[in-house]
Amino acid sequence: MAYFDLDEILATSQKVTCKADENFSEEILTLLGQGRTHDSSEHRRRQKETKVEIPFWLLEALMAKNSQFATIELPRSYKSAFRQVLEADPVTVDMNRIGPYFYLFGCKLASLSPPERAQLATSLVQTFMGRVSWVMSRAQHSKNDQRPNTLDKFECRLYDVSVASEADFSNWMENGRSAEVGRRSGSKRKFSQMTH
Amino acid sequence: MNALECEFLAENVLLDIVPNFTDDVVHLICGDVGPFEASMVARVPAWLALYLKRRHKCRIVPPDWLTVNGIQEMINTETTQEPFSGVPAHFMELAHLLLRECSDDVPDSDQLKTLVHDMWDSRVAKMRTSTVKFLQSGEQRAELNNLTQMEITYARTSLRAATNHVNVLQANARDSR
Repeated sequence: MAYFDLDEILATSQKVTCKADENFSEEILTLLGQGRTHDSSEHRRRQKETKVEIPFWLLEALMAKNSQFATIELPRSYKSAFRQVLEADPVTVDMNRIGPYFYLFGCKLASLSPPERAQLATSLVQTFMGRVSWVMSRAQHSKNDQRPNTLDKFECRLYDVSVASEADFSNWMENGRSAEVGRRSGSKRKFSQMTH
Repeated sequence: MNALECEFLAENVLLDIVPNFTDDVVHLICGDVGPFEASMVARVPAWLALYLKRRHKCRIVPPDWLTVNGIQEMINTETTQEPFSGVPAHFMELAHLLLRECSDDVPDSDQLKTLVHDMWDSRVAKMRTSTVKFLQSGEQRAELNNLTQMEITYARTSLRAATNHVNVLQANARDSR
């Protein structure tokens, strides 16, 4: 993934809830605008156990430096209960609602070794495999339908390329180029017609 | 690559024509064609055949597989066996070109149009099921024989996007073990 990849930037801007561990430094909270002005020792102690919401990109950088920094809590749509829903019927889940970067963000989460990391990563593969045929056949039979709005961003892209190749083919079937050339009674092809 | 480019490539296939003029050998970049003698069969590339046809200079002899029986047999083998059956190169492109441009030279052209479409549909359906089977199997590679250029073009972008994504997710699953 590239540094300036927009998808990645958007995916990693989602917030993750995590429990502050021993080494959690309070400056982070100030940075995030969640800090308190007063600073009593009691408050400090309480702070250690509180849950904090940190954007993923920041958490990733902090964890890279010190993995003891915090304990991640998986977002709801990646938890075991939701994984079972996905396993039971991957097609009906509204990916756009639970996070438009479901797969990408899932991979990112797994890279931070949260609890149930292996199950999370396997579930992503299974979910996509369970959905891929549905996405592709929806695209091939789309005609003028709108794109279903329950797709993850990547699935949208897959849907769009499938629709494009379907359209290219049916366009050729209905009015191929040589039909047009033929109407002009066998005039020579122009190079520009071949390269568009 | 798109459907029009497939058609362009298919036009290099040699076809038999029956010219209604007499002429010497014509030297072309793709090789010499002719000599032409009125009502004697000559073998020329499809693009030239279609060009002459448009100027009413010849009659095109349709390839021997482009008959109602021929296509029906192809559909039968296609639907009864699991692997793709071998079809003539540029099957769809040529059938479509000939049925569109010189339907008067092809007997039963209306019925053929429907049959060619049925043939395409059954192959595309087969391709879709095998694609899904391949993606779900988690295999790294698969071999598909007897696909034509048009079918590959048709499936390429979506298949590539899907397999790439499966790869990314599987690599992630491997790393997370």
